[in-house]
Amino acid sequence: MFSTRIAYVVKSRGQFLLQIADSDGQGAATALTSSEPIISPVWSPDGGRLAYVSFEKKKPVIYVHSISSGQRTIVANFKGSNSAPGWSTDGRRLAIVLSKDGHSQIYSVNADGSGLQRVTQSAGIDTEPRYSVDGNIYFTSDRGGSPQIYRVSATGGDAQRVTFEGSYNVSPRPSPDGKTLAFITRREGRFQLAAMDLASRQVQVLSDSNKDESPSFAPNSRMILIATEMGGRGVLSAVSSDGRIKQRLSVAAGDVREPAWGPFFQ
Amino acid sequence: MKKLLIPALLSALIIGCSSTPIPDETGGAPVESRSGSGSGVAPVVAGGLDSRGLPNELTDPKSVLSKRSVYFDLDSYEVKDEYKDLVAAHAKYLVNNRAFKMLIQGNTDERGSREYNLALGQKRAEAIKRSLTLLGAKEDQLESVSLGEEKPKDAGHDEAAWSQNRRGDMLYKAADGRGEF
Repeated sequence: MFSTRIAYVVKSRGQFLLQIADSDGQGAATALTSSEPIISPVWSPDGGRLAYVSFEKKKPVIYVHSISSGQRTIVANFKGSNSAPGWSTDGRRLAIVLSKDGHSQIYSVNADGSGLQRVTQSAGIDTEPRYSVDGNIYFTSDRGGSPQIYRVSATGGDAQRVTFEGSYNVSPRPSPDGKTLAFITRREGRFQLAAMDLASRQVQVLSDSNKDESPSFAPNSRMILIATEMGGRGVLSAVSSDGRIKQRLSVAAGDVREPAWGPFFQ
Repeated sequence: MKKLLIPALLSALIIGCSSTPIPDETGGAPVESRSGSGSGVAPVVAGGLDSRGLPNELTDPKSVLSKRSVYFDLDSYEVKDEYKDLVAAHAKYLVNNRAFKMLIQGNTDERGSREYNLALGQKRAEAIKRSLTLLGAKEDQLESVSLGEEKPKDAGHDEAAWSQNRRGDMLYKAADGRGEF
């Protein structure tokens, strides 16, 4: 029997809790409690570790956290900001964003923090890198004047622009099967989940809400978990990649954000 | 006080070495009395420390250096003219106090992607850092980081709140490691 788990961050009474639950939101356990923000959790492909950004050092620093032992390793704590980790599909490396050279650029690094390499070289912002199964990294960049999604080889080189409609397309997430790109688009001031069929480049807006954030694909590529807002409070919602099914997850009280859907495990 | 005592001690030594005693025309006051409460001495209280170990001039609300925030316009990453004097005052303090370090934290409003906002906050922090280095602060005194939208000063969801959150904050740390970060 295969099942999946999700991770997310709850803000409750001034504390930030990194929690892990079954994919229906039940059986939550807290992996980390902090008085400073935690953002951008991502599962290692083997489902045993989470990489995330913690502000406990008064600045963003990237950690890898082993779930069963609780052991934490600092992957990147360079001068400036360290953020936006994304695992390579083999789980050996992380694409990360560092501002050590002045502005936010994409690098890759081994999961233990060694072997740092620069991936992008632009004059603007490059962030939110995510590996896809075809060996590319999808990322957000404002190099063309507005934030749009681009694609570059994981080893670097020239980037190709992927999104063209609208002036704000961010948070790219290639599906595990490599066929679909989920992202957040701003349309008339509303931030909404969208999906692009990577073969045809057709874009479909999948939600009708105002504040969608942080999409995350289920391992079967059919559902997308997002953070959205309901009654002024952060909630998690699962949307099918064709937009037909929408389901709210019943996660315990509090302000919930930053969902990450984990891989299959036995 | 030491500067006052040294000439007095020297003259005492000269007097002591002289084979022919020279009448002390200044009245032969004992050295000790010069450190007493003589007239014409302006009492100076050297800067005390606040509870975090920083000089009071950085935290006393009456001091311009207690003002640490630079606010930015929507979609803007430039230090506005109205903050140039404040940034210059902090640059001067860093130039005169090379052992002090500063952490510049950039912030954004809540709209949009958290990670993209983190990168935008970084641009605000970098803009403040650039202004400080142009005025003489050293690269190794400064670190610019971003808190993105994660630490709003105003938790509201309207333009009044957002304008408070488009901001860069300057935090100090003294040479002994005590301070605000």
